Amino acid sequence: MERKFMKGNEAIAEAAVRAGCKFFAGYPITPQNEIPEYLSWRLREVGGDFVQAESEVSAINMVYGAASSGKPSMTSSSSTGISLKAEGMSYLAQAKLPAVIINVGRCGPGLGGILPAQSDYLFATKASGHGGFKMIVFAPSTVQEAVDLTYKSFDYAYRDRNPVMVLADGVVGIMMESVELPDFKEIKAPDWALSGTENEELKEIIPMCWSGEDLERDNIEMAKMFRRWEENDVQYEEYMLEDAEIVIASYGTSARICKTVIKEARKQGIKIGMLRPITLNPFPYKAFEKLDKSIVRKILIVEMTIPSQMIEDVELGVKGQIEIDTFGRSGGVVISPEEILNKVLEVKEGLK
Amino acid sequence: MYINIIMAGFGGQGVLTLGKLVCLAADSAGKNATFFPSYGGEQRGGTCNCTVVISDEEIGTPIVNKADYIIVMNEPSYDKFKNSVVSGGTLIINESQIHKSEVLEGINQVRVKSDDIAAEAGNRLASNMVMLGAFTGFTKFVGEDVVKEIIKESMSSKKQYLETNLNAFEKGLGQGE
Repeated sequence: MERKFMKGNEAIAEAAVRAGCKFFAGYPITPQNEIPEYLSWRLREVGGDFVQAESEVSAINMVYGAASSGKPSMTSSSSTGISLKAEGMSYLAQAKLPAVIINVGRCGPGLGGILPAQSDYLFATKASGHGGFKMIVFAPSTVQEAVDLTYKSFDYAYRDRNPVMVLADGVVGIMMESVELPDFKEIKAPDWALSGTENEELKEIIPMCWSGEDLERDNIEMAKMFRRWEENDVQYEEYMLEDAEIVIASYGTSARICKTVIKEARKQGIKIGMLRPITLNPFPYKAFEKLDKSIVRKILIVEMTIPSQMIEDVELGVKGQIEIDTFGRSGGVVISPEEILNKVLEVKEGLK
Repeated sequence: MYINIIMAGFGGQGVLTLGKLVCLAADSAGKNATFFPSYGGEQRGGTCNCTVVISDEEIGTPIVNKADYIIVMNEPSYDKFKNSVVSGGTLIINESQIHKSEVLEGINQVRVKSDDIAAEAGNRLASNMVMLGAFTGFTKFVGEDVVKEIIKESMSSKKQYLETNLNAFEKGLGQGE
């Protein structure tokens, strides 16, 4: 393990290199520019290739091509740029190609702004493109977690032959923090990969299907994969939950800020904790379901987006058994511990 | 130890470098540190700032509205941040550029003529190093030798400026004490 003080974006890029990434294509957009900047020189050092594409659409399709040939591939962008990759992500899913997509989120909708936000939750978890595919979506809360989750994303992408998304936000991307960097790995080209040689047996990597029955079979297989994720791959953190009357549900940067709030609120005698999804998809429904209804009186969802997006999943988890309240800031305004604490005090007051 | 620091000045004063060096020193002394720079509509000559958190425990929010220490390098930053110090906290002021003087209740003020001291040390641009010294001397967040090592490492490609920067740092140390 190597310890280094790194900017989130650069740490994500280095983690990808260490996971075995050998191809990156992307198009500049704030706040993720350090990822392509870093990889533009770093990939060469490890025998990989970097392309600054002419557009996001082009970049995701270059990733499609490189992934077809068995090269561990990645692209990154931010919110509005990820929208442009929607078609490509859907193609990757139907062609059963592994790839890692990094979204360092900014505020929206539209071109929005360059400041951090968490407005892409529903886009990332429910439908990142047409046709009903899904991805495993990781939401790092610290730079270290951004490293660890990016590194793991390649394993999941190859295991499932499906794209994986890391949904960070501008704060995780821009801030600097100490990280432990993982060891270097190699990902061997799988048997299904195209070699481009003359003697190669016939292999098919294609994002379509002429036969309705065959395509339906693909859909059914995908549905089974989504269920396997729910059984095996859910990740979340329970923070000071034991006796908590108020449970904050939050992820990414907001969750990190909430930890400061929880410590302060505990000093004031408030029984409060947090359930933090690390995988946004598969969502930790069961962790919410098993919250003790005789103790937990309120769930407070904290996100940097208005209105709340995660509420749709939290509601599915608690099934109407616990009251839910929400608090958010948006437009690039980073939520402050003071205002969250005020909301917590208000919620606490309401419990009496 | 759990301290929040905001450093602010205009682009070119080395405010972000100052923040990073504090983090690197804390990191090399085995503490946790986070660095968050302002980004957005920044422009040359405009104000810029960063937030640094240093702790022996897990760090929560890397961004704060109120800090235990605020280092201001120019007057617009002074105006913007003078009321953002927590009660009992400390405002470290570059007196070479900030001529305003007022009583701020419940807040310590450390006034350092950092541009002038840097000039005496041989490099007026090393004003941020004087402030790094003052901050280190005042807080003793890590030993001064740790910070010196970090300065040496970070200037390994600009050796011609190392001596004046170290001088500036050492002169700053006494200012904080």
